[in-house]
Amino acid sequence: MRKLWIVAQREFMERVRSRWFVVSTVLVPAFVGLVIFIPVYFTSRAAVSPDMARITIIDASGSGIGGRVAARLDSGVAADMAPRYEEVVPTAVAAAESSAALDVIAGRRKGYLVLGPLLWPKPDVRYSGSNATSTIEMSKLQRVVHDELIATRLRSAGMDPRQVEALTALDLQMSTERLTARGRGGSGEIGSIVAFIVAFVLYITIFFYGQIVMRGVMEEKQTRVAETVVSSVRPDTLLFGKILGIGGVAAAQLGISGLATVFLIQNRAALMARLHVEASNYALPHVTPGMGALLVVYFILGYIVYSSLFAAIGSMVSSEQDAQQVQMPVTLLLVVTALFIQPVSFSPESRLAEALSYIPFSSPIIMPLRLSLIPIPVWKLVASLLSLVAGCWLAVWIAARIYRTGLLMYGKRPSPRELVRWVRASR
Amino acid sequence: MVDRCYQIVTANLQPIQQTGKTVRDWNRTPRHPYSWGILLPASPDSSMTAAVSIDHISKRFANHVAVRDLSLHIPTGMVYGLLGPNGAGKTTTIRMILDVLEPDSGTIHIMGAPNGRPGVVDRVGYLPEERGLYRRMTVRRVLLFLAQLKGVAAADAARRIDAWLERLQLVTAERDWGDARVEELSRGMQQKVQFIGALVHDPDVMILDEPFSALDPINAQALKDIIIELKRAGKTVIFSTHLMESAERLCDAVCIIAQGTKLVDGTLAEVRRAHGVQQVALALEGGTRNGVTRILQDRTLIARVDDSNQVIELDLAPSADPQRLLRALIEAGAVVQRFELVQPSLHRVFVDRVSALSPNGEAMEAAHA
Repeated sequence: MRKLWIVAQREFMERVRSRWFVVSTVLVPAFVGLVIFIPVYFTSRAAVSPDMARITIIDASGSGIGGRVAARLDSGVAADMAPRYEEVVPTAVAAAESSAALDVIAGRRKGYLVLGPLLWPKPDVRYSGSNATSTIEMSKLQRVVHDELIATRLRSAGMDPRQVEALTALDLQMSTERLTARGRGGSGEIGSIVAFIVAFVLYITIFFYGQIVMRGVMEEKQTRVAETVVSSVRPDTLLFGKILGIGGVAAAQLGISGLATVFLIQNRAALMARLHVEASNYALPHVTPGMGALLVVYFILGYIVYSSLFAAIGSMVSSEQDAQQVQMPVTLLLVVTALFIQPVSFSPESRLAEALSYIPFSSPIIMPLRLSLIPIPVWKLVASLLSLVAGCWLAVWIAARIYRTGLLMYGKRPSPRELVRWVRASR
Repeated sequence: MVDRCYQIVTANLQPIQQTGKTVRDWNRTPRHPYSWGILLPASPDSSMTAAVSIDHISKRFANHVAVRDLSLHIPTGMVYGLLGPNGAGKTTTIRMILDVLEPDSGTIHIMGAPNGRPGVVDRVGYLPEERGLYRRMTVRRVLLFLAQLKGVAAADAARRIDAWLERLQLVTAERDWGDARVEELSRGMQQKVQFIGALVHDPDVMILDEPFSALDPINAQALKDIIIELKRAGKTVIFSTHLMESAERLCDAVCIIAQGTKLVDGTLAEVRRAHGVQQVALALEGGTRNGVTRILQDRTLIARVDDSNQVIELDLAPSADPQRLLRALIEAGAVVQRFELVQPSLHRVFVDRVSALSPNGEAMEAAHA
């Protein structure tokens, strides 16, 4: 036990000390940060320019709407930034337009807005200006004109626009609940997008850390450190220590990345305020402690299954090319499971989804996915966990037997028949 | 001294009793009715004092038998050579001693305790033939790891590591290589680090697998000094090699194995004596002329001739008298410059023994490789 601890400790410390660890731990929150901040930041950069109101408003409608639009656009900061309002008769529109166009060309004005004589049923509203391609400015201008048009119509129908606004302002949040033959609602349902992300993150991390275990074993074998180390510690202990140590690295890395990501998402508004940008917080899915614990258990067991298999592969090859070929079957198990993520997330109650929850190679990814989508009876959960634990034990047992023979065997990689012999042979 | 290192044997020379009593005690009260009371000095293979005792171990792999019914008793405080051609089973035997492999049958004891018992192999230091270290770790951390695996406490280990680094000049006035990564070190320095890794826990038994292969002369000298020093300190050093010259210089006792079987073992002198062949080194003025050639071809007198131009090495026929040969040579008119009865070299013993086992000469080649 003491030796197991020493091996695991070396494995953990050497990796945590490395630059690789720091970089890859920072990478995930950095990526999340970019995804959260970049769009908002660029939108804020494309905000309304302060001189957008420096336009000429040519109003031929005779309703005085142009004056109200001008008043809404005027920020009141400076007189030369305010819109210039010209009320004209319909026949004088062309002349007013051409002089306003000259102002725009000379740079004295930003553009001009023409409100045609007919506002009902289809208003004739045009804008020309140097900023006509700015979507945000045009949509603001259009919104102001739109609101004033509605207000005008409401008034002419004898209604008070303020009252109408107060009456129609309603923020409706409909709560939804799943109802099936099995019952109402359910614990730990997270929502399909988050469930999908959870399954995908499980797939990526199990694969990633499994590969790290394999590289670690290959390094020990190829540099022949293994020859020295196994004279002090049994191969089994070396294998378990490695899996434990790298598992610790995974825990540290996922913990740091995960907490940083949650922090960023929860404090999005506050952080964005620092950049003088207005933004709301994203709502985090609500995860119950039981659900969280199950996710962790499935990750740990899945990691043990795959990392021990990858370790066995690392021990039986002597070169990178061999490793690429030999790891194919194990990689395929993972990739095929990942291919099932989408179908299962669409129909988590299908027979296929159920079957995949009992296979130790797919259950670490498929079962958490289903758990976050639908309520699952306890006995099915227990059955899935039991089969996974059994699969875990078998994978570790086989891996340990391949490992102790493969680690000190160089040259040609073993044939399947030799592998079977290794597994059956004594030490 | 007299009491413990004697064995009581019966007529067929089987030990019947090993007690801590003195010879005189035993003679007064014989415990075995058939014992004749013959007292023989204990041979070095007495398991009472063995650092490593191997009893009838066999190891079979898928396609071949690596070790068959091998028994060795390696006394404490000796430099012991495990000699054999490539593929003789040396490394397999060493791995079984270290409990990396499990023998199919037979038992192995280290300092009297079964080697599978926890902590027993921690008393052994091992320098494998294929050497390597964690390349990206610093020297001190690698050594600390290896020491801790052998059960040395961290603080104690750090002190020993510093002492060794200094002694092997890995810490000098200009540079402390202890804090460098292993990959920054030259091959020679890495070998030194590897020695320290095998020694740092102050083992009672040191096992070196082909220690001199791929060592530069300076490190070979350093390793030889360490081996001698360990022996002086009462440690047991076992090393495997197929280089007879280094074995002959260093070993107190040897064992020659081939094809997984022990061919001969004992002290160097015993092994030579047991070889049975009497050798003569002969130098003649003017070389082999006229009558001399005829004498050298006399198979009742001489079994084999190896003419190396300056010296002719002769194996005498089994019952031939060297004096008769000398007389015959002088009578034939040869001018004898040198006529010396020599013990067979270890190399010679090795080649004879191993090639007798495999007549196709494969072993011979292996021995010269």
